[in-house]
Amino acid sequence: MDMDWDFDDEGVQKLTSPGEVITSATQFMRGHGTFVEDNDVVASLSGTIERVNKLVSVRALRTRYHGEVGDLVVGRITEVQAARWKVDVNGHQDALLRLSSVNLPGGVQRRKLESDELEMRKFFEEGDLLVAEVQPTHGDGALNLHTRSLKYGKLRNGQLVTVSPVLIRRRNSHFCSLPCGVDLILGMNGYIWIAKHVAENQKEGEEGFDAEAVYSNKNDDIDMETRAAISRVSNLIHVFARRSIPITDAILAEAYDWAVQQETSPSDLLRADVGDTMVAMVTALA
Amino acid sequence: MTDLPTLKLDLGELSRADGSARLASGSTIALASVTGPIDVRSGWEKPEEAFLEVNVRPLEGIAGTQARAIMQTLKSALTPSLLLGRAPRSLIQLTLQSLSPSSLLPNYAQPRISLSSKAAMMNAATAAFLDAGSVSMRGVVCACVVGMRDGVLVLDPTEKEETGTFGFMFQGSEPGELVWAEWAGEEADWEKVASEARTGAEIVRDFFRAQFERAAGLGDEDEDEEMVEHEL
Repeated sequence: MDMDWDFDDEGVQKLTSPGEVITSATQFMRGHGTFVEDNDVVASLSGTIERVNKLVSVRALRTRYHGEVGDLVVGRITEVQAARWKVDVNGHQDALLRLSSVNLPGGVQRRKLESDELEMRKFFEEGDLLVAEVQPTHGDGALNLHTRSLKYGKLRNGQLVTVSPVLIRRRNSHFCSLPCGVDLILGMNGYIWIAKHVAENQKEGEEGFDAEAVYSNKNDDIDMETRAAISRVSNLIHVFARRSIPITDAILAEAYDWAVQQETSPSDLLRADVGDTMVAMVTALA
Repeated sequence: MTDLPTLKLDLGELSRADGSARLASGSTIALASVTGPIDVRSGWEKPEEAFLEVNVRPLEGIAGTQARAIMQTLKSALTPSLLLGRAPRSLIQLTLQSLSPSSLLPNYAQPRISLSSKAAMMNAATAAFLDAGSVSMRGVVCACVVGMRDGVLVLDPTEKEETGTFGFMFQGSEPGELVWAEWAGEEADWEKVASEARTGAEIVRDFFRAQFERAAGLGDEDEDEEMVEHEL
């Protein structure tokens, strides 16, 4: 049996079109994005074919984020409403962040007062970026978020890059530190936050919950090297995303080293030839 | 036979829809957006399949009888290509916005939505469904408009020249299956016209394929040009 039906004669990955016969159903199992008709596995989406052993599925090109409980997401506040915020997380609908699901200054156990409701913009206002965890969803499919951990909350000192959610794999920790002095938050919804590295002992602590720092809108000083590192990482992510390569900290660290060795400037990475060489090098290593 | 008008496709420009496409065929432009499967209101809920809601909006004025007629046509032409049974008790919304003016012809009382415009809407709808990737499909429906210019069959008719429009459903690389035909002419010409329209629809399908491959980063054209936008 020809195993390379997802590639054309030149070894280039093909795109399926709905109704296209992929393979025989007697030898393979149908996965997402396919259906069985007359003993054939047929694509029901336009996308790329994925195969895990005997399971064949089609991955759509562009997908919205479908939240699952416990996922880590990066989002942007779109609206401030009564006792809750609306957050864009690249889903069908905006997610909800209730005032009761955030940590307020004054300790974890602090009660929410009416006065807090009146000054919600002190904590998050429209356009603010945050990292949060998904809680059980609302009846109509809207996600509920919470930031009741010191790891979560407002984001600053960095840059947001958006990629397709399918490129982010679920893993033990979505908070990564790259050796180049850059912290990475890989949101399951495809939003990636790249920021200046904060040393473990300098994070805002539990005891002296420092409201100024946690809800601050002001960036720390970021030196030129860190800025260059952030933009280099963000361009690397663009390059990988263009080629539909899953984003992990390992692959980024590898690519970063390569980019530094080659002495390419951050913007050079976006040139197709440089990108191709980089991807070929890094995927060969992996 | 002449060539098709120049086709242009923009994907995913509406950020709030699951899938969207703006299709330009010459100067005829249509915008389609797809959302779904989503919660369905109880009156529309079907126990065994998704409810397909189609809205057609003309460029000017509110949707009248004509828009409703087109809505029905598009719905019945698209239904065979969608696996609605895969998302029971849900709603799939398709909204089509015509971006080319309806014309005032002396022999019609109302502004008339041209056949080219209908074909563009159909193609935009298909592209939006493909872009969304959230609705399972059995095939892709591509439409092509035909007309007569000086007694010759053409695929790029002006509004006065157009005589009909055809939709074909393509499954993989198999020849298209006719799912929609609106045509006025001599019965003897039917075979010829339908086969020309099929060729036209195949060109649309190939165009879609090339555009989607480019969007997926699988094609090789124009990559440099696009990447420059991301430069700092």
